[in-house]
Amino acid sequence: MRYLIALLFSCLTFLAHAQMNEIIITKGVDKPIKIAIVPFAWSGGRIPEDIPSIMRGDFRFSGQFEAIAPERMLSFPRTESEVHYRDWKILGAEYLVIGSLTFQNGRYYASYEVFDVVREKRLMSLASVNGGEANLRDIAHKISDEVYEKITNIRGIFSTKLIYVEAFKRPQQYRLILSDIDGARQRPLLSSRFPILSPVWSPNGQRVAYVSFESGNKPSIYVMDIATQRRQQMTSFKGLNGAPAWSPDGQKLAMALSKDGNPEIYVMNVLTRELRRVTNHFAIDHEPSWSIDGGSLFFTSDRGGKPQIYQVSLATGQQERVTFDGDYNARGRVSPDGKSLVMLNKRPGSNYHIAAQDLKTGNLRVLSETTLDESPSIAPNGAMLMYATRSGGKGVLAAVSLDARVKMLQPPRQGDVREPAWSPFF
Amino acid sequence: MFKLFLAVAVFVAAPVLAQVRVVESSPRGVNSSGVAQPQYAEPANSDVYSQIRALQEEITSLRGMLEEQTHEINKLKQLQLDNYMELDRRLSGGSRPTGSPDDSSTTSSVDTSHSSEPVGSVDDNRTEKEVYDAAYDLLNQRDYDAATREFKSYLNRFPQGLLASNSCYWLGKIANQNGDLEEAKNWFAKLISNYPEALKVPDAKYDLGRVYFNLGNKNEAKAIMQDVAGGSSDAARLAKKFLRDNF
Repeated sequence: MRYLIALLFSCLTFLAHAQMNEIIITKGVDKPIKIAIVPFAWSGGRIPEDIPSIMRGDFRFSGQFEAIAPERMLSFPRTESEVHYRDWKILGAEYLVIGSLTFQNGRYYASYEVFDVVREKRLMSLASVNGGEANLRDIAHKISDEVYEKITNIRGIFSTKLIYVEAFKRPQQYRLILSDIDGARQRPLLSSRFPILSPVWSPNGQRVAYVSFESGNKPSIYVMDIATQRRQQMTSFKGLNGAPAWSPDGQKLAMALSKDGNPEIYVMNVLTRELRRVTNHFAIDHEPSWSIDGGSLFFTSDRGGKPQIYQVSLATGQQERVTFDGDYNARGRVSPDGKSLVMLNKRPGSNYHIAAQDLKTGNLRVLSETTLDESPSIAPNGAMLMYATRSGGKGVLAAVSLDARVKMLQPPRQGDVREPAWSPFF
Repeated sequence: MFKLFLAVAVFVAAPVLAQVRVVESSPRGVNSSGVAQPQYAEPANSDVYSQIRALQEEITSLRGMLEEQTHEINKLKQLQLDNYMELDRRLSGGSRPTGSPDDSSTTSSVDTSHSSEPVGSVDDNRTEKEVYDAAYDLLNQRDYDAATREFKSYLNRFPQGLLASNSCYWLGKIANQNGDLEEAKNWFAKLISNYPEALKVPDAKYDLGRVYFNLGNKNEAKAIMQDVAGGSSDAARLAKKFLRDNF
């Protein structure tokens, strides 16, 4: 009987995981790289998390890989001597990952090796990661990051995190949620009966700035230390306090305030709270974000009749319009390499989409095909971005690669999901 | 988000404007508009207020037009410069035979690359592949005007590039799509005569045949279709079908 219950339980958890990891790839690369991640050698009993299965999810999530299902594998090699390349060539696998897991003094130790099936040689020699039971997913993501970087030469983002707002109706509630990038391990950081808006990670990944109404009936900008969840109110000006953005050195916050009559861009020193006004125009200036060098700000303004993105130099105050394609361009964010500006774009007669503009040539590329897209947030490796969209009447998260070749939708959560913020590397 | 914000802002801004408290903490910077924050302490009546609103709207729309036209002018200036450089390149390298390279042609090509380099590197130092990919992406997004510009810039910079024949082909296709049959004809003909070895030649011939047909030049169309139909390419299959259907 006890056995039966255990079995039932493991089936249930399996189902729960299967559902959670079901990211729908709506468009992948033409020829994904095939990778085989073999179940790890393990002599103990049931483990709370299946590391190879999490890794397969990671590689699928990248959109560039196809992970071979374990049911199709002809053998489960545990060591290099057990690897028969022929078994893997038949499946078309280009890379093979094998590993083992051991448990000692309350810690799990995972070691793994990577083989290049095509060249029939070892690609990555035995490496090891360890952690407690709560860190099994971290171990899996860490291995995925290492293997991904070895194969693609691009730093992996599987260990990065996501913060987003989830909104519930009846009773109305807003939650600020921290989760793994694959949607697992959702943890509420803050709950409120009033809207929570515009979460952004500090560059060191330890703090988050956001806007909420928690101090009364007007919006204020807060900074929360993620580890302790201790909050600090940064602004309480009359009117609007919105759209915080960290400077690249993490010492300043750009924001939009209407304390002087109408919304303008300001920069605040986080430590001294010293405030400096950057724009001055009777039109609305909003949604500031920093250039890579921290020397200028991009912001949205309707001073030209329609919302467009402008750039202002902090040293000279010189302002310049940046976007010209479309009758609506807002919420600009620069990619980590500083080459593209990602924004919310609308062309006449079309829907709101996420687009990327090459800052040098001015060429604009529309990235998303979903409807009512909003709030793009770029991955720290610059390869992908996450945004909020609507699917089946619900706010969900979607991701697209910056070259528009890979597109995916995350499964719906309980509430409406909005405003994803992709963390920096930790 | 911005829209919502706008609605709220107007709502919030209205009473604020009426009371007027202009705090000019940092007058630096925004010199571009030159329009001072309205300072009407007690609006005599709502008329003044609505007039100001109307003027502000007028100014923003004029500003928008000015920004867009400045942008257009800058683009045109750049294009003119590009065209001039291209002309210069052609004139200085014009006498060079297109075929076998000899000593004089190599020196002249070195000269031209020198003369065009300053501009080329300032404005565009993308690789051959990057220029082509950008153009091809634009084509995929159906932004034909921009794609045309990019393919032309590819041809200007890499007339003997690996993808020059493909660029001609897509330019022909775009012109055809835009209904500019003469232009389409020129691009396909250019491909066939300049890059006779290119993989796209059968496709270009087939498309050229169709252009001739649509221009009413049935004899040319038939001749070229028969030429293509002799091969074993996909274009040959299409050409056979075209001949069956139309002749």
